[in-house]
Amino acid sequence: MENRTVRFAVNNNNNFYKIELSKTLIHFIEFDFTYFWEQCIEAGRIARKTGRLPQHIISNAKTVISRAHPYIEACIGSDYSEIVTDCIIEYICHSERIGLEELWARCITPKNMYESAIFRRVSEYKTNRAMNRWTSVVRLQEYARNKVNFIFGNGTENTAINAETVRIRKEYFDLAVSVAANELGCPVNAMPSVKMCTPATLPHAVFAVSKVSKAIYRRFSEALEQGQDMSYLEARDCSKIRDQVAMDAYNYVKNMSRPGELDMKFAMEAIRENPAEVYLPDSLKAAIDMEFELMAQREVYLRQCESCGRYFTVSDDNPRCDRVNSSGKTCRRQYEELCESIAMSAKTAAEEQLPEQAEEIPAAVPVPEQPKQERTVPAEVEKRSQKIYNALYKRVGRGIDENEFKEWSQYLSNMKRNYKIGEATMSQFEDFLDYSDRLCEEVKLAAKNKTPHAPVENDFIPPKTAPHTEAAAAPEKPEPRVPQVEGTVVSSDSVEIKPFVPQTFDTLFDAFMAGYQQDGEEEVAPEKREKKQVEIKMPSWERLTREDAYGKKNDQ
Amino acid sequence: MTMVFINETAAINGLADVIIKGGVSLYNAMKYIYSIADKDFYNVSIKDAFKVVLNNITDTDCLQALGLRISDETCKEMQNEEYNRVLSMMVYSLAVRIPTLKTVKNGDDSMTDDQLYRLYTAVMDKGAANYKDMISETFLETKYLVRKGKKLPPFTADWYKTYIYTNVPSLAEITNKNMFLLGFADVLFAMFYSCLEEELRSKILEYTADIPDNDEKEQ
Repeated sequence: MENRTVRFAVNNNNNFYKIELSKTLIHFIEFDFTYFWEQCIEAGRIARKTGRLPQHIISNAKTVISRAHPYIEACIGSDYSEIVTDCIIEYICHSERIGLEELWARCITPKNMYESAIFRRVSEYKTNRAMNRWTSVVRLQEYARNKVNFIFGNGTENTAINAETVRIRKEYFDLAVSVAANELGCPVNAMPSVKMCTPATLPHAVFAVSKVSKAIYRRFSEALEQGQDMSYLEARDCSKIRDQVAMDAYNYVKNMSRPGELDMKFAMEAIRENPAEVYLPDSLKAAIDMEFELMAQREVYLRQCESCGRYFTVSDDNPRCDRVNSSGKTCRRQYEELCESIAMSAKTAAEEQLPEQAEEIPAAVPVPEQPKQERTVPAEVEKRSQKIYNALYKRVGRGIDENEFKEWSQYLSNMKRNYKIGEATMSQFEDFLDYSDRLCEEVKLAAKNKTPHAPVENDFIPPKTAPHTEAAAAPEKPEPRVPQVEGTVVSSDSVEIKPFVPQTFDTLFDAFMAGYQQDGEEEVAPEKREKKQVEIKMPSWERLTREDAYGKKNDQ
Repeated sequence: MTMVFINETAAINGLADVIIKGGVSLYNAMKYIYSIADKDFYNVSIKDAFKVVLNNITDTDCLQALGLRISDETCKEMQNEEYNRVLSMMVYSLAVRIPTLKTVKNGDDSMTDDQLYRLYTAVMDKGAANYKDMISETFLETKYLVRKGKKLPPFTADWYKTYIYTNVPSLAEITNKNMFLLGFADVLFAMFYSCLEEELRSKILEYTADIPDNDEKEQ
């Protein structure tokens, strides 16, 4: 764990700050600035009314943004002290669609402290003494996100993350920035950089390790008080005379001997508290880049969660993170539970439908659904099925009853569907059509004889379906029919002979129509036939006279 | 007609204050802008500095917002007794132009010669001086030109440069900073006076505001 923590310091601040490798980065790229933004707008609104910025809101907003990154926290009293004003300026320019120059001109004669603060801050922008820290933080968040995506994002290539890959990607990204800077003519010393120091070699080491420094000063105070004032160098460029400056300073302590045991013990206690190495980033970008660099060196990698898409620190091969999501569970746990539930349901379904095949199903792995390529029924087969369908349809109610026809029709459509999805073969389909042809012949014959059709031998092989997928959905195969004669009730299990019952008719018309149809006559569909208007002629009765009935003799 | 103020003494003192502050501002502005040549030559736009000075004619401390500071380091050449006399001379150069305020009208009213002279006296009493008669213009001469309706000579930095050449050796030396000073001085003097004149006009009208007309009084 200690390997994943580094310490850094900033100028004008004697404290040491901590960066937890990968955690700080993830926290920064995911940080939500909305609350800070709202606080700043509120502060600006109040300041516009009262003429001064409300300090309690500013203080609160600065506390909020300090949490985004340790570097901001370290510099909140110096470089980032005006970040709220920066945010207000950005908001004014954005909302009123004006540039900084116009805003500066508006506030050039400040009427209150609020305008004075804005004027002073924009003046600092104009004279390169400051930049808008708020927009800088937002841009750096985008920079960090892009860099994380570039190095650790799930790309199209299937390259495994390893030390070399990470290093190359990081170097490539940084080099791209350097190329752009070079081509645009950016001075090298204007780019962010990080120094690695120890607490004793920090620029403000005297204040950072103050107790020991005081003890040392006491040893050499006399010589130092009489020494040459070198503060004039502050205004000069000393980049070429650094060694000379250092040796001039060393000259006053060069005769130093080790301190006494007591003093050394005191120094040891004070120095032991400090970290062995301290980084000195000169900007937020430098701090972010430093974290990337140290992550690559210490093999701390990020990965994008396959469930939520957010980045997390790689600890094992699991592609899901340990963050608690909206379901109240971590992505990793949620996925495990999903797998378990799928496996359980698949197992249960298999056991219920095909117990004999249940053992073949993998216990914990969900069965992947293979995409099936649809086939089309050949045109001639389609035509043949349609012909049989039409022939049977015509004889519904005469050679074949309606339920029987529906059953056959359902079977035909299932056969077609199974053939299309590959669950049935063409030979099975043709067997079924052969059977249907024979059925059709029997039905025609039965219709001609005005009797139910004779049973047709069902010798085609029904298509087999997968037991756990199509078995439940497949229609039941028509029961094989036994020879049927008039007056028998057919059952698949047994045939029961019953006494002959003559045909009965409800009406005289039904009885009349039963024998009216002639074979070869144009046949009509049952519903059409029912609707056909039949003219019933009343019998013509003639009145007989006595003479007609009994003759004239009876009258006489 | 005589210009009627709500409180004439207060008005005279107020106008004198504006002139004195204007002189001080011009004096400070010269130092602030001179400090640009020290380190901020490429950081601070002199155009921005002019805008700030001319928009804050009596308070040039706003220039500090541009990061400019008056110190022994940035304006070392100006931190001496000889140059300090420039302040009283600058105020004097503004004071001798007081008669031009006669052209400021409030209806038909304008300041009388007496009022203008009292204003001039008030300014002179606060420390204005013409050291070694460096400034050739006088109050009476300006008064004469105004009365005759003649055009006044422009407010230039000629006397300032003459004084520097002859009395301030540290600034008379040919250096980058000093040449920069002599270059912007002419422009700043002319523009500054124009803005100060406008400020004085608005102040005069401010002091005469809310005075009811005689007709209204009678009613």
